[in-house]
Amino acid sequence: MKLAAATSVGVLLPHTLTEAVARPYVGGQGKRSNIIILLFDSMSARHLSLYGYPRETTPHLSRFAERATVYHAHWSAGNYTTPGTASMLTGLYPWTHRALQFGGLVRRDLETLNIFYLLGDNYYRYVFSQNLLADVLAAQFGADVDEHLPPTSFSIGGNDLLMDKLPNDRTLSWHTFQDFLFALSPYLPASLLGGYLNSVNSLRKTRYYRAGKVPGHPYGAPLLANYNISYTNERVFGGVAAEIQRLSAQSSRPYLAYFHLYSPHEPYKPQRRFTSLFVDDGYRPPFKPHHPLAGNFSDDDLLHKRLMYDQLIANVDAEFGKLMDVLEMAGALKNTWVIVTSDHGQLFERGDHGHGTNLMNEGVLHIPLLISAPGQDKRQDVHVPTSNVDLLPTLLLLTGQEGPSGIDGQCLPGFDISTDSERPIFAVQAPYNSAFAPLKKGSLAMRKGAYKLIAYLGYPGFEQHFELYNLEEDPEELNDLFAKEPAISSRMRDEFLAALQRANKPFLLS
Amino acid sequence: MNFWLLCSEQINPSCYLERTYSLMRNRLPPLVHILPVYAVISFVIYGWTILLTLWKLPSWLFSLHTGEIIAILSYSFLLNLIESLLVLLVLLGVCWLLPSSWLRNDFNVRGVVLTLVLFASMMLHLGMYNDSDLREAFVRSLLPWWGVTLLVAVGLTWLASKAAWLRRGILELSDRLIVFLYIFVPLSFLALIVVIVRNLH
Repeated sequence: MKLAAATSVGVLLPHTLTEAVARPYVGGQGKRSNIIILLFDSMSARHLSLYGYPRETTPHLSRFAERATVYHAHWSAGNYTTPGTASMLTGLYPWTHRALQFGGLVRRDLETLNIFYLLGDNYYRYVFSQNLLADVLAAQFGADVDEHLPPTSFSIGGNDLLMDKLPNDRTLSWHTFQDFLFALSPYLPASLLGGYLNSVNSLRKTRYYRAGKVPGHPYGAPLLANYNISYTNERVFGGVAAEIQRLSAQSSRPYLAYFHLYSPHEPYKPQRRFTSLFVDDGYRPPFKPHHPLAGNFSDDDLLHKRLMYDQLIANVDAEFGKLMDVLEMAGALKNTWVIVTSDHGQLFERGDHGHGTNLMNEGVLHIPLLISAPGQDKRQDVHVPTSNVDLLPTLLLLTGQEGPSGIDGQCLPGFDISTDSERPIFAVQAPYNSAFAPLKKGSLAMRKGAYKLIAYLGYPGFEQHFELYNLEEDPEELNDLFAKEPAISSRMRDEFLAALQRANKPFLLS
Repeated sequence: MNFWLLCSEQINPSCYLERTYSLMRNRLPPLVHILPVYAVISFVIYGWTILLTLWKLPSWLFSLHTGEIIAILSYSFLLNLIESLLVLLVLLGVCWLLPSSWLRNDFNVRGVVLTLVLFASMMLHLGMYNDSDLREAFVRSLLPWWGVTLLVAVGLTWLASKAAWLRRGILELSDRLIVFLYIFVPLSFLALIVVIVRNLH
């Protein structure tokens, strides 16, 4: 079926943002139910048919949504794994928790503000993260985690990580070994002999998997490229299913299981049966001019990458569908909250590709959030803007626990009558700043109601540059209103600058 | 053969030790020749790590506390110590296996040349293929790369034994580098203590 480009505009946000907040299903609230967080790395809500994307990428997520609360305007607080995941696990914005850099850690004095600690010993707390950056954060909260699987648990081969070999120093082992001593190209290993031998060993071991010789994977097996670890989604999802069934079988206490799965993160290597999807379907996203702070990808290249990404999302969605079926049949989802989300999205526009770049457009910030309560049998939709910092206080509320004071998040709309649906929400990308100093350079975004303000600070030629969009009328961010709507722009900018000043205050020298 | 038979006939443990030591002494170079070679090995291995530390330090200062940086460096220096000893052991092993005239008799020169060629080859190989897109090419290049390295090593070893100026230069360089052992070795033992303390339960 040929899809017109115009279909994508306007369908992503089918309801107005000012619509009354739907009350999600709250069965099981206050009881100690199991909690499963399934996080798909780099999954942009803007590429899910569940949220109106013209390509039918997520039929199984849509099926799951029929018994879940679906958040339509959910943001990650960061535009790549470290700040995004840290915000989700702590309920703090990146300018507060300060895990800003690649592999950054949460402020040590705020370490106990994490979901594992706050849920406490009443829960069996379990973590499996394929993404090493998220694994580093889980390791930082390691004292509060009962079981922490190594990132390579369900991989098929590659680098031998030392992450779990040093239980007392797991937090630093990534910085020491993977990012420094045994770094792989394009970085030089700081250990000349060990690093060289590790490069030879790991690259030789994954040669077979990279060469497209794994059955059903014409582009090679999916790969954690920076660390040269190969995996297949069948194996990973099979492992997740087995782990959930194991956790369900142990009845001593309810569990919180956090699965941070790597796909659909690049490099995009879908299984063979998905490689013919969407080819020549006629879909072309709206044209967006190159941004001066973006990368230098051509439109054709971006179109090709988008196609591969969409195919991989369809692949992940199919595995998700199988996982849910297996768990349902095994009865492993009884009395269990299932949360599906991502840590950040992925950009294929304005000359930019990926995440962690300077841009803060919706493709990289808008992430899925679906919460299925125990026994929920109907769908609820929430269109009020929310942030992934809201997940922690919501989980605490659902498990009948007191939320800590001082966190940035609030309970998700519908779960708590005190929810402020008009509050501003923020996203921060500031890897060029010290974690111990005020933020002076970076890309930040503020969402309030229908409006979104993007601030580029400290870049050469963009010392203090703002863009303003009305996402209700212009979900593709094609029309910058900053100069056209001075009253709203001024109000939004002042509110944003005041919030930034408050966030910077603890880091100013007295 | 006679030597071992002689010992077993006498059934004297001290004889074994004495004979073994004598054999080692005959097949391995004297300590005074080993030390400058180890100095060169250490200088390159530690120097490479220190160089990359200087490159990495600004980003660490952005996100890590001083204690955490010291911990990373402790692991690094401890690994450097192990690596340098390993390379020296391999060199001594080669020395043991080869006829004395090939390596043992001129160990302080030829050992240094072999060390420098080995490390230069590694650095160059890593540097030339330092791109994610070249990973496959890196693996494919292994055999020819090390073949050429071996030829260069043999050639330079031969040249070093013939050219007096090169020989003199190598001896003077390796002798001067011994001073760094007074920094690297104690530093590594401090690092060992830090690593042990951090991993005590």
